[in-house]
Amino acid sequence: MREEVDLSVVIGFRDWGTDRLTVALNSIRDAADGLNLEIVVSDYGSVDLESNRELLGSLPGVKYVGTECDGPWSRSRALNLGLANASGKVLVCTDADMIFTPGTFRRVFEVVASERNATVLIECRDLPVGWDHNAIRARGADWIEFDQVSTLRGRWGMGGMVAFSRATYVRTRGLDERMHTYGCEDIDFGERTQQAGNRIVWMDDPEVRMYHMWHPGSHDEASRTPEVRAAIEHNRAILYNDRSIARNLVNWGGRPVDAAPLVSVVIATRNRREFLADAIASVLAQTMSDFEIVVVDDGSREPYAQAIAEGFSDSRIRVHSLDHVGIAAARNEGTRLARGRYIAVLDDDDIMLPWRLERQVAAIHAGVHGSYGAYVNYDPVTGALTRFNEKNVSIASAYQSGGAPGHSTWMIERSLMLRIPYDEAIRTGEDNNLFLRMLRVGARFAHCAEFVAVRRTHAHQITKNDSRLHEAFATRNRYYLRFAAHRDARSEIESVGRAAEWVSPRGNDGIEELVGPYLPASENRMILRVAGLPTPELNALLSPELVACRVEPMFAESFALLFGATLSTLALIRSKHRHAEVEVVSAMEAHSAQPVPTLVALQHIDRVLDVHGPRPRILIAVEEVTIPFEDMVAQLAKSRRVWQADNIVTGGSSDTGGTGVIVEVESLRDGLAVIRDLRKAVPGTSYVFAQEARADDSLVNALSQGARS
Amino acid sequence: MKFAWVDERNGRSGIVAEPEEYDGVPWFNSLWLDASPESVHPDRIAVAAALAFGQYVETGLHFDRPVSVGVANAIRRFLGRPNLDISPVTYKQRLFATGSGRLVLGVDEPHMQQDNGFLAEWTSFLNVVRSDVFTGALYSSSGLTVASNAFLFEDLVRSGPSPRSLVGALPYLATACICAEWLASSALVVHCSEVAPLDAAGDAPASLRELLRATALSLFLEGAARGD
Repeated sequence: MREEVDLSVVIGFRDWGTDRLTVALNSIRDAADGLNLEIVVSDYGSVDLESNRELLGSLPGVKYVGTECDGPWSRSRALNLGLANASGKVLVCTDADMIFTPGTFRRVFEVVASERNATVLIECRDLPVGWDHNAIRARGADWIEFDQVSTLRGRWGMGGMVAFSRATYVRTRGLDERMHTYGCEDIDFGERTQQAGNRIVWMDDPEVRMYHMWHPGSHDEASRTPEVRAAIEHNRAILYNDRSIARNLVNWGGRPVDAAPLVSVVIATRNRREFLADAIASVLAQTMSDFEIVVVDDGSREPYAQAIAEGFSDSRIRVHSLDHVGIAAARNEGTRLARGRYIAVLDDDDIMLPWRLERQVAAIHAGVHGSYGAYVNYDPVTGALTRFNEKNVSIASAYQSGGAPGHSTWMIERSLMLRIPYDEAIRTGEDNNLFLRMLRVGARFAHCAEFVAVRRTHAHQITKNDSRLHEAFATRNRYYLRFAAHRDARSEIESVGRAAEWVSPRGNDGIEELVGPYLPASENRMILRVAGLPTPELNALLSPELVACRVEPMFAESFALLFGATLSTLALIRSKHRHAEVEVVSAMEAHSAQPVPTLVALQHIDRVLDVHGPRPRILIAVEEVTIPFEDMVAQLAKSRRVWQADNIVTGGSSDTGGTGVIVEVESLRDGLAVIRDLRKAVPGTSYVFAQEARADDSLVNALSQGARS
Repeated sequence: MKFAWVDERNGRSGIVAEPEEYDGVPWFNSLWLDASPESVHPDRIAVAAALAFGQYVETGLHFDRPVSVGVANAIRRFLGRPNLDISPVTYKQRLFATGSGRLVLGVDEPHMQQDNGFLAEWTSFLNVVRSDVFTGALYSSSGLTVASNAFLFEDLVRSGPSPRSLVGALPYLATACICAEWLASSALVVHCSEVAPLDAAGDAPASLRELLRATALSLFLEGAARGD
């Protein structure tokens, strides 16, 4: 039987010299002092991964993890990739140029293992110029001499070595992978472990020492190139502005295979078959994929939940059936069955907007036990949308209003919901009751400043059917909250609550535009921009009835124009291809059922493309003559003005039978020449200059009028 | 970590913690009681803070009222951190109110009453109930039932009334420290089915007893080998 690993030491690496690394590895082994040690070398982007794998992977106790990287190096990503492969009870991150006194890691392990909430750091000591790995190897490990000649860096930063528990790693989701190169990622991570409840413990033990081996570029200001300085500024902005504890919400390169989902979406359902599929699809359409869905069927007359769940073919959905125990008990059972850190509540007749889980997790910072948002009531008969905004909720606001935020907007720590469950004796208003009880014991919640849910109004709503009973329970809940306060104090606290400001969510002044595309019966046309998914696979996934026009990519992105069913399409793509990046970027003005001409489609796509260079762009399309896209590109390449592949931004063939391309040219005159050249080969070519064209307006108008025929 | 004693207008009073430089952020930053004791000795507030929030403290404990030097040393020994910064410290300890009776600590007990016979040693009770279920407090000559959020500070989620272990009882000992003077008691009695962590004699750790003794409180573990 394989022994359990006590300690995993993870080192990020990229072509920095295996010799120096080997000296560091030997030192780490000596510092483990009898622990069952594992060293993970996470090689992120070295030129010759295979040679490194052969060399380093053969060293005793070393696990080699090699990953290709074609962009800037990221210490965060390198370390997370290593941590994902680490199996120790205690995890350590350090660098490839650090050496440690014997027994150091034994002592570090003892602190982290015995005190569950400790993040352990060691002050770094810099060895002098010239004391590189060769010198150290030649001298041997004379720790007394090292101590005498080294310079103490002091308690600055957190990066030389940081040790923490596996639970801390999963809680914070590791280092922030948006940070690249190096700089601030260590401080950011350390501070987030603090926000998660860990004490920062600087080892104060004379037997514990860490030394930085000198190497060229160690403290050389010239090594801080403009790129490195820019990276540090980028990283610093995240450090200072992002207060969330959990990171890497959409993509986490360092996700351990056995990690539980971050969020459990709990849906209790009973005799409302007609709505459940939409609710589930809205969860599968989330921008963040690290969730599970727990559906609890509270004794429906005819079981339907399992069949509906199986129709999605997604292993993240689990269904549990109960005899009719009541909605509060059903929700409590869902909490017990859940594995995620957070419970996101969703009523079976409601819809989550696609950004809900990501934005709500991001709103949870230190001292906050959950988040909530604004919601929209939707009348499917009239199409009316009614906004329900919220204040920043507190005891004072609850004194004044007596109400909790919309139930389908709640995201709360599972550990809190286990300690304070729904009251199963209550038949209505159990959500209001629960929230006020949580407020009274000191729980705090953050508004995520987003609309997160669409609440369908219909005849079978529970609050509609038992409104008098609902009011009675709501009143009692309010009395519970205010009971211990003197009458004068109640008025005082109420006035504080009344004065609290309303939070204005994103899209507050454009709710139809924000929410409209995701409504169940929406006929809005939307553009999906998809990266990381080959077009043939995207084409195979999308139903022809849904797609008005598909434009194939020149580069790494595909576009699809959808006629309605945006939410279910998002659910389909994100469920089957979780690593694809899907963005809903635009709504088209036309709501007609007619096919979309290629030129109109290109206009919309052009608006959403990120790259807008200084050169004018032309959208060129052929509608009435069938020409394969490759042939059009070949014709364009013959033009003197379109001779580089970079000139062609994107394009392809559409389902309407047209072919289109977006081209950048040096000037509008060049653009006109391109059109004239193309028309000789392909009659019927039409065009329009992109709205971002930077030119004299009169020239644009003259060319446009003269050229169109 | 900074601590302040707060008396709120909505009927709660308690200790509010504010983390400082290397402290961990507590899961809940305030220990509340639905009552406002007539008088609470600053040393007993300090001990209550150490019991409830000690696991998050790295920098030190900083109070809004001076703590006596003996209590400061006892806190350091209890938390196992001899160099912990505790301030402000006074070398003059305010006298503790005389308390002669025993205070039996209960948690979520459905019915707690002490039948004090005419000549028997006076015994009071402190029944700490959950403030997500109950609101307010009920005071009688023999004891106090008070709603509190102390249950959120327990390490373990209990399946029934009363803490199973001594570690689980620490937040309730904190509430007992706060209420002891109000209930004229100086000996705390805790019923635990498990008294872990134990010292070599199978008893409550010496540092815990010493911590309470520094504020003139004794600790009796019913079911343990011996008391204080």
